[in-house]
Amino acid sequence: MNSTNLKSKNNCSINYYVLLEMMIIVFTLIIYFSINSFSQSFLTGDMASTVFYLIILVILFIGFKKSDRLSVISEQSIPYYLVANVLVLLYIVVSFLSKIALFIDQWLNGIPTSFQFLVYPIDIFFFSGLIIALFLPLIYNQSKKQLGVK
Amino acid sequence: MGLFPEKKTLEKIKIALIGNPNVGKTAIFNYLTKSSQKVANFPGITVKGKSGFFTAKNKKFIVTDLPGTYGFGTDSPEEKVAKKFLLDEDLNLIINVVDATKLERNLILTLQLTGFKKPMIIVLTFADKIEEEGIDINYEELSKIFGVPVIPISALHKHDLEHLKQFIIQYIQSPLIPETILKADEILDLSPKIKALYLYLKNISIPKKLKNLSLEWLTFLVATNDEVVLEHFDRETREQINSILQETDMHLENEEVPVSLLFINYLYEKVQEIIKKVYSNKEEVNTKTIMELIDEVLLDPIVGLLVFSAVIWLTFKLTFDVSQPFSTLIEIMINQVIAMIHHYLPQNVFTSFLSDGLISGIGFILTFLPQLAFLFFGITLLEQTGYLTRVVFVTDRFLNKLGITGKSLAPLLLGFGCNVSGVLATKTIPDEKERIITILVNPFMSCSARLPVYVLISSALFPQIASLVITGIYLGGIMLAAFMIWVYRKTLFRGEQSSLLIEMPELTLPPTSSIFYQIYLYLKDFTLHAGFGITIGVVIIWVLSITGPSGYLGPDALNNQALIQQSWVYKIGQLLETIFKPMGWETPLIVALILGFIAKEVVVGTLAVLYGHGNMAQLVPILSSVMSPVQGIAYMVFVLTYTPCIATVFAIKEELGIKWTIFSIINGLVTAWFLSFLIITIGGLLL
Repeated sequence: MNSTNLKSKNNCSINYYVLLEMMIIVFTLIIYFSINSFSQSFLTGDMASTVFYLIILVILFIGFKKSDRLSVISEQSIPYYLVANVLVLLYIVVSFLSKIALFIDQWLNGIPTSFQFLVYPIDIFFFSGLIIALFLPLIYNQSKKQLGVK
Repeated sequence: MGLFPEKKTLEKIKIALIGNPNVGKTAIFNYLTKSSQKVANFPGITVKGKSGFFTAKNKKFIVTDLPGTYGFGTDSPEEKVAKKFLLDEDLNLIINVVDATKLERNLILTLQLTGFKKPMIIVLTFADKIEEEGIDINYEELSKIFGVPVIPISALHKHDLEHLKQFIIQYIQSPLIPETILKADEILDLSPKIKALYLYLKNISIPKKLKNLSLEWLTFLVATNDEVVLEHFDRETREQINSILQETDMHLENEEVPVSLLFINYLYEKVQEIIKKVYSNKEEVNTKTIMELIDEVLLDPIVGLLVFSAVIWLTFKLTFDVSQPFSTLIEIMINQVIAMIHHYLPQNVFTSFLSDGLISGIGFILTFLPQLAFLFFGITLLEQTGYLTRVVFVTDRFLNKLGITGKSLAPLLLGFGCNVSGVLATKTIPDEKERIITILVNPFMSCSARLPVYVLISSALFPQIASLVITGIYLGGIMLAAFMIWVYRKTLFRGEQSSLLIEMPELTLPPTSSIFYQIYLYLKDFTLHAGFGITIGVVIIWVLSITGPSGYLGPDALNNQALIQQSWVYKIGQLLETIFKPMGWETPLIVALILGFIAKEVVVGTLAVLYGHGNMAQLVPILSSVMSPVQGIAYMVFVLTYTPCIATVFAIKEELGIKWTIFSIINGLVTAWFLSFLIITIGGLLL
């Protein structure tokens, strides 16, 4: 595969084309997911989650500001997106565990429960986010192998 | 021949483990001694040397893990402990643990250790990593230079550690003393001061404990006014040394560079010579790794703080939400046990003590174990991945504005687990003023024993937003600590601030076994401490509840409102009601605060006994009926800020003496009362 390696200011060699192809999809999904979760949390009055997603959006924005003018994806911005994504992944895992915990707790306390929480729209977002988050490290691994970035 | 076989006397072999912080020393120590020493990424977490032993071939190998140190030449507490041990102990072997990936910096200490002239081996850890990074180290050449064996290992591989253990057992039979790398002629050229001192020391009788040291190394230590070394000389010699140093000073014109710096420069040159001989990098890496790029984000002054806030919130969310069903399960089991006791045992004083006092009290502690397990999981994971060290760095800028360095962060964060360990961990802070401030504000870091009180009250008064309220209380504690640090720096502890020097460990995923083992240690420690506090606390409460000024009231007093009002416990509470009048708390709530001085976990246990209910599900509706939300917040803030438990008080006394301890107690009480009063007043105006 032909690829162009560009040397950046900090000596980091990243292939723009390969990353653009894969990252643009993931980036769009993260942004969509974060904004969606932010507004959902805000509307449901979950202030803690709202602040959390605000932090995620700020990190994504700073990452975006670090990228060059040609693309939203660059070696300066990728680490910011990655950190934001790891935080979202942790949030998804913790939130999902919380939901399961609540389900078990209600069952132990004799409160009628159902598995309905698994099909709530918000959980669909959780799962889509989880899939993105799980696939992202693989994408990074693949691209860094191709690019010779350690 | 007697009935019992004669006890064999094993030959004692004394071994010291020494190296830079975070080189895998503790992992080696744990393997050799199977001890419970902590593996962490905090620089210099081992304040005191810890000992353990193993036996082999009729020998008892006593291994001491010395505090991580970068070298000798400063006055850091870690260095003093290590140096004193090396001088005072009759050691059979020094194991110098060296990080193979940071050879250049680690060998400074190795060079200095050769001056002690004691049997030694060099263990190169992370040998597997250097291969991955394309670095080649000539171990044979390194061994030839130092004149002692060099053993490359990976600190996490059991196979390598076993190999090292077997090697030590064999090697101890004929150990080697390292070569003198520091050459007299080279050292004498460094400075006239060093030369004059060297010649003086050469002609006097050297104290017994210092006799083993090479003269070159001794000269350096004396020239740098090393307290640990100088105390071995008699007064006359010390005065003579002083006069030589002063006299020589007067003859110097251009010597403004301190001797220690000259010496360190010399050591660096020596290390460079060694590196040239043994080190080669096959592939020059000129790209940054993904981890290095991420590190730039985590260490960013703004984004780093944002990430830290998000991570801390996630940790608390995990702690409070996910642990809930486990707590419920334990609660159900405890209730079953209490029901069984009441069913099978006759209704008398003993049964009442067993069920209403002891088991409901201990049951409360067990109920909160799941929460603590998740909290410790979060803290351990952050600590062992190396992320907490990044937090130290990122917060240093912020903490510096308040008047402390990032070094205070570790003791403060440990305070969230237990204030006792938080107070004791301040030993790593070299600056005395900063150390005192960190100890004084540590009780404001809400320890895990206070968590049950918050959970109980917030579940009762704020069921929908309990985790948010609890996070708010924790944050309130942090803000109060920050404010008090600022106040102390402006009033009692003015003066220059110290600066931060830390090593940044690589971001790694720690082994799962290490995390779970650490959680087990934390929980064991907490249960034992809390168990002790609870036992004493509950017995006192129980006795004071079933007796009163009129005499024995009987176990019915616990379930009888009229009877309990005649008890000692109630009378004590009534005596203090005047003080707490503005808050409007009921007498049982005040009594719980008084007994909370024994240990904070007793507060919840006391409420359970005084309100006559042994589980949270029953206590929650009672509390929601006796307290308004504002009173609840004021109560939680009082618990957060008032005098810490007896164990913490003793820890403060050990570290700072009685004067500061009394100050800390009074300060806590006054602050707690004032803040609670403020909340009640403002809350009353707003609502």
